Amino acid sequence: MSNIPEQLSAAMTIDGALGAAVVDYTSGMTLGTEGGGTALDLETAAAGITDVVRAKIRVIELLGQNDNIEDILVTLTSQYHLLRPIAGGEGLFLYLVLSRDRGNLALARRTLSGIERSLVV
Amino acid sequence: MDRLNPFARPGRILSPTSPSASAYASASPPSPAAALPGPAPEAPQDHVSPPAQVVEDQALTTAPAAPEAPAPLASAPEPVAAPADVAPSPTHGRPGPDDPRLHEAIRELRNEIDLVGVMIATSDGLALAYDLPSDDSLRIAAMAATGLGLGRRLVDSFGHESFQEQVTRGSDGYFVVYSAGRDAVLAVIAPASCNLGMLHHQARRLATRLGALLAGPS
Repeated sequence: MSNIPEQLSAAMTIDGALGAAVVDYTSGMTLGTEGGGTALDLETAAAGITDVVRAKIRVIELLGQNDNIEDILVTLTSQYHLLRPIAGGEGLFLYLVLSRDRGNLALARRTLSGIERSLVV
Repeated sequence: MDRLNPFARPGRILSPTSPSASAYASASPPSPAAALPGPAPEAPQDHVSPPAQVVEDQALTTAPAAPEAPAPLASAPEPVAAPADVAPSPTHGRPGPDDPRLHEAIRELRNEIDLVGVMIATSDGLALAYDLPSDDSLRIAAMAATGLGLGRRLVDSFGHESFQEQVTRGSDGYFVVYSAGRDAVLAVIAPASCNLGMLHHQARRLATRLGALLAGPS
């Protein structure tokens, strides 16, 4: 039984969380979103950031590195965007948007890692 | 309805299999007998004059479009002949087939996303502008209009307000149909690797713009 909404709600309890989503990077579509709103269109943000995830996965394959992405951090002046491919999730990743003023990056990474392990798609 | 449709032609034909000029020719101009439900030929002589005038008026409004072949879009840069009161200029007002603004819109979309082909067509299946890998425009315009028609019927029957888009996913690609206002449709053929979320984002905006453009100046 999928628990995406519950896990996304949990992600939103992280200090400074502005939005969270589970995204399918094969299509750029979201399986679930939480937060966001008019100031942050999560569907569009997820579609856009999908290209970043795809690019990094391709580069790792290209370099023949037998390794996996644990997470990708994009730092804006006012936000962190944290991307976490879901292990064994067949092309899914967790997407967390965090306020830099109110959030704690180290804590957010730890919490998101726990959410990734508890997530059932 | 046709009053608002700048692309309306006499005898609206949606024929993916035989979109020949003769199909249009056979539907127009209206024959006097067909256009006149009332007075039959055997009517008294003095009653013929006024209805005859009506026939002439109809012939005048429909005649300009009649001789024009429906197919040769690439060689028909002029907007479709429309009644004089809504006649658009090539760069202002409603675009006709092969309007440069439509081609510009297609270029913009292709710059943003890796696509196989793009088609802008009227809701009755007449290609307005396209960029396709093969010479398939008649068929694809017709299929886009069919997708739009089916989508509208489905949305209608479930009370889901207005049709927006229809995604057909094959194992090796997508065919997505977006509603572009009341009278037009935007169809996109995309590879399986396409970022569908991004395609939706770009194509929805474009379809809205096209809808406004094709509805004419407000």
